[in-house]
Amino acid sequence: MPEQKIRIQSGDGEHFDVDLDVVKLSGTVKNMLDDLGIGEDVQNPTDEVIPLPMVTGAILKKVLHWAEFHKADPLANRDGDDDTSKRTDDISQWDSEFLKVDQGTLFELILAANYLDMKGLLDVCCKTVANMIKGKSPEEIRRTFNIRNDFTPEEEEAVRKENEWCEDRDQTTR
Amino acid sequence: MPFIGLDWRSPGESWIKTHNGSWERLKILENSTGFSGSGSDSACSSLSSSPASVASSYAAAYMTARNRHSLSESSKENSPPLLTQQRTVSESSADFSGSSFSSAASVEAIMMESESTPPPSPPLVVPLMANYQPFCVIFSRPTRERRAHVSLSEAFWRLDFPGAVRDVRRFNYVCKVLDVLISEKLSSLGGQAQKLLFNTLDHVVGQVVSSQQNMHIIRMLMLDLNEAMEESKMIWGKQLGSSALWEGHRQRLQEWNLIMKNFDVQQREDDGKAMLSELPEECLRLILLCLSDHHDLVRSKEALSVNSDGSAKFGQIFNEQRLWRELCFFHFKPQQLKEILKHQPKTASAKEDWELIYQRMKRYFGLKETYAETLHLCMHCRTLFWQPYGHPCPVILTATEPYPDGNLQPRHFTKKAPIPISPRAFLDFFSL
Repeated sequence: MPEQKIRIQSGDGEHFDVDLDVVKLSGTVKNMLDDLGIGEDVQNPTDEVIPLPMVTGAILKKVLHWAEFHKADPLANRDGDDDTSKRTDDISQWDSEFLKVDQGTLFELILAANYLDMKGLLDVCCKTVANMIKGKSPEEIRRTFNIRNDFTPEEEEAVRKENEWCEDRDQTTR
Repeated sequence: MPFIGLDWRSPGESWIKTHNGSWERLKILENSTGFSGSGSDSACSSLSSSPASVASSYAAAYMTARNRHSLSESSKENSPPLLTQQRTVSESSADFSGSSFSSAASVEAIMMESESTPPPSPPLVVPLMANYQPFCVIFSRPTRERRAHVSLSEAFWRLDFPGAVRDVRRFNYVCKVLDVLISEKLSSLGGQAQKLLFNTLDHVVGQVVSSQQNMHIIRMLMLDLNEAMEESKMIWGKQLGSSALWEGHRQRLQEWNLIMKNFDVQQREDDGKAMLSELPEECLRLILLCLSDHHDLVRSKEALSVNSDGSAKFGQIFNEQRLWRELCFFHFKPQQLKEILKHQPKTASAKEDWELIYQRMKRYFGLKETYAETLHLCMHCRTLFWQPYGHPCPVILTATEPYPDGNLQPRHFTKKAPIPISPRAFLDFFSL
């Protein structure tokens, strides 16, 4: 039996016909579908369009690409106590290749995953950004993300003093 | 009675005559050109190979760094002869592009290294099979029937260590192995193992330069390597073994030191796209919660807690106890936490200061070491392998085969789970 399709609309008016099991990876869309009763009656598919005003067409396309690949995955469970959430190298090769995008697109994906309530995508995007922070000095982090340093030299010195405790032996090797 | 193999030099090895007339083992040649089993035509390519675009950007970034160094080196008048034999920029590009091609291309590259116009010749070895699996059988000791002994260099090659450097999941494990080798065993390594170590390090440097990530790891490796090179000289007055080989190592180390010294993190362009500061607080919190190292947390705080109005929210996140509390729960067991909390003086606000607790616990118990991927040892056939790729276990295969008389009943067989092998335990398999 062919999979039921749902039509969704991006913020810039682009339409996508997506399989029901793919689009249900998004908690936000799933709630909308449940509220509207869409997808329950398989015999009478609806023509209703689901609007997603906060996501552009280009980003939605990427999000759907990710969802298509991960539709069979078990539900991602982002729990603060979960060990894997802190293992930033625990990214599958497919996800790692998928997220080789420019920083702007990566942040757009984070915003979209947050809005669409896609825990798996949000998790892997956050790990990718965390990997960009890991092992860098404050100045290098600022350069990586183009953050302006508004500290005065005195303030900077005060912050450094505050963080002196972690400047132990392993710090010198880093 | 001595064991005589098909090839008198060593049983089962393929040897190739190099351009300077000496003989070299095929597997070593493959490795010295940056070959890895993760070529585009191998099964590993799905996990550890880089696509053409990534490979080209990787090569470009690395070449830029090398080019800078080559120019500075060429300005020196009395460069030692070894340096001129070192790879030039064009050769290094061949190395890195070759690493993603078949082994045939890699071997040909080194065979024709000294020739400006390589003559057409048939490939020396066939490309790897599509179902290539990196694995290595470990023999505890030689027996009368089995004389084969696995050296560290062979294990490096068989387990696809150079290829694993390009795999985000295996990178940390390989680097830890390199770190232990450098800081504890460098002077006792054989010549081939040293060459392999330095070739793998070359891959690590290239990977870090191209990805602009894991800078702390390469800095630590370089620092340890500089110290170890000095120490090994101080013990005996000079390094033991081939002086030409050590000179080559020294040159490469200088090259890497220069690359790391001149290496700058790319500045994010103001391209009108979303910036980190535009992320909502909950997203930034999620990113910071992914950090498992207190250094990164402290440095992020320093980098992001700026005074500008737009980024004031960053400062608030860092004042939350959650970041440090979760770091504690990640690194330490509940029993350890209980022990420390029992003796923890209460603060004025009657709330726990998790940053202080973390500092104390780190001092007492040390931090947890985790790897997304570790080598595993099969308890049936004593094979080391990477879990996602598996290995062809003869014991399990035999057990699942039907009996010779056609009886399809499964044989009596208890399957034992493979055990994870830590980087140090991996090195314990070899007499170093």
